[in-house]
Amino acid sequence: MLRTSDVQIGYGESTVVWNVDVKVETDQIVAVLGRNGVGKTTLLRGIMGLNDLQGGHVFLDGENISTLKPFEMAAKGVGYVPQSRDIFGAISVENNIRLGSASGDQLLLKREVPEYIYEYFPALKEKADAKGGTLSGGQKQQLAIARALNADPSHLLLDEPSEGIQPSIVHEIGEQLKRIRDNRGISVLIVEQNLNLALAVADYCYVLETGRVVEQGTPEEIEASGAVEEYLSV
Amino acid sequence: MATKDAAVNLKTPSSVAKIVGLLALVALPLFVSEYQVSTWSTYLTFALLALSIDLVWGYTGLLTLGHAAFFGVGAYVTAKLLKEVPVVPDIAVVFIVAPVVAALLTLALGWFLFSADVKGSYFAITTLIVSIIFESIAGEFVGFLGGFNGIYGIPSIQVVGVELTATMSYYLALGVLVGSYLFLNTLVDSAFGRVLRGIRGNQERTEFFGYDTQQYRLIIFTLSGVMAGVAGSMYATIDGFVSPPLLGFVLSTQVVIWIAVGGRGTLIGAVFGALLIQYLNSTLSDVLINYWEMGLALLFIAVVIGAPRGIVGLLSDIVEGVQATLVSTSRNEIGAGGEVDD
Repeated sequence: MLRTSDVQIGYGESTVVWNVDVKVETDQIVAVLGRNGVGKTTLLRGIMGLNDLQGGHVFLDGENISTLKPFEMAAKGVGYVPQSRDIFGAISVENNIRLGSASGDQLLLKREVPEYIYEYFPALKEKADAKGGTLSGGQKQQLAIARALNADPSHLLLDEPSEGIQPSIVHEIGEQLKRIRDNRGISVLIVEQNLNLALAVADYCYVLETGRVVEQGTPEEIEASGAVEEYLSV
Repeated sequence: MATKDAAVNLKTPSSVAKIVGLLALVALPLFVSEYQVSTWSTYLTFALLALSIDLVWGYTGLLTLGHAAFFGVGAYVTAKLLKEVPVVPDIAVVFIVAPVVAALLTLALGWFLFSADVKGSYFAITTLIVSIIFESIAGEFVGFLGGFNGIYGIPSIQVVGVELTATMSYYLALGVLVGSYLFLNTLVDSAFGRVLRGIRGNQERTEFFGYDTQQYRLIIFTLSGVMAGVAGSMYATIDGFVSPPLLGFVLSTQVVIWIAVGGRGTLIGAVFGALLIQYLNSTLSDVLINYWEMGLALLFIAVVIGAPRGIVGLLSDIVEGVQATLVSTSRNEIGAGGEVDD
């Protein structure tokens, strides 16, 4: 289980995320919802160790991992798919995925990409030899998720995987996330503005407003609470 | 951008060019005087220094402006030991003691800089300052390091009791350079090398994949220090004279220009740039006595503007363009033939 306890995260002197408690149970998809600029990405960066915590703690299966560096988080089994996807445009799709296979400070990469990754994302297998930069936006997002999966994570953090992607691909990604949870037992923490995706895949949701959790519950509870209209509508 | 060519693929134009260049260097002592052989031997040691810097700058994106310090340390350690401690075998001085001392210095400096996450212009400036400090120290210690007069009369190295001639030293330097190039070529083409390129592209991204980027950068920085130490050590035995400028910022920054002109992040570009500019320096400086350095500056500016991937990158683009044109022409001819047949 991944859990934040009273975390405060920011940049320099300014605080963006205030006293947030988020919990991702085993085999669960948890969504953090909110408009632009409410601190969703900052929350993920803080959990991942990319931003220092100004207060509070992060726990993984009961262990305090608040001060771990990003590569140590990866070694602990926490995979991260950033909003920018950050794929390597100049190397092949296959090598992009292989680069994700590091565990801790191991220097050698896996020789082959596990077949199950291509089963989730068959389009990547077809383009295995193509350069990463030639993929469409949706395929790049799939590649970023595939790369994170190749490290055999227990938890996956996804930052707005639907951004800039056509609806059919967004739906496909949502379905794959559910399969990844069900078949691989990977817990997912996803931050999203796309309500359709988030409410369709999540087992539990948190609504963020100006850096604070203002609502939480199952997707049905969130929809019934009026939070969608109050905090998430444009 | 790193565009490493296959080192041993004989079918590519770049490989053919490398082999022709290597054969020319192998044959060189047959056609020039002993003095020129010695001069070219020093060029080869500087090429090895350039190779070591390209490993750091070209493959991790860290611009080091102080690598001459490690080159100079290798040279000074060798000078002192060969002149004053004859019990240590010469070959051990060149290939063990000097590089180990240089490695310890780069390891210490690298650990300090990477632990503090110093990068970008701050990394360049800090390494530059280290180079200036080392040059000043060598200049101040008159009794121990010879001050600004340096240390002269360094003997050539002996291998199993035989003192190497100028030609032998040349081939030793060439062998070390070629061996280092092949080793680095293999290294940067490995999984390790892909991680290095990842660090150069985006350190943060590479870190959340699970790579300890500090460790990777430290390994590469130290390895480059070893190479710089060997290069400096060999330089001392070939030239027979070391002085503070060998540690200084002028040499450090000159080598960066050689690499930029040759082609950063290609390895072969560093070697090519170093040899080309030193050759031009020695030949044209006799003709353009006061204008040569201005010419070098103009060449640097021209390359930065016109060929940002360096001369090697430019030549590679030209070859690829010609190949594409030939393929296109060939297809058109086949297509035209098909139409006639139809």
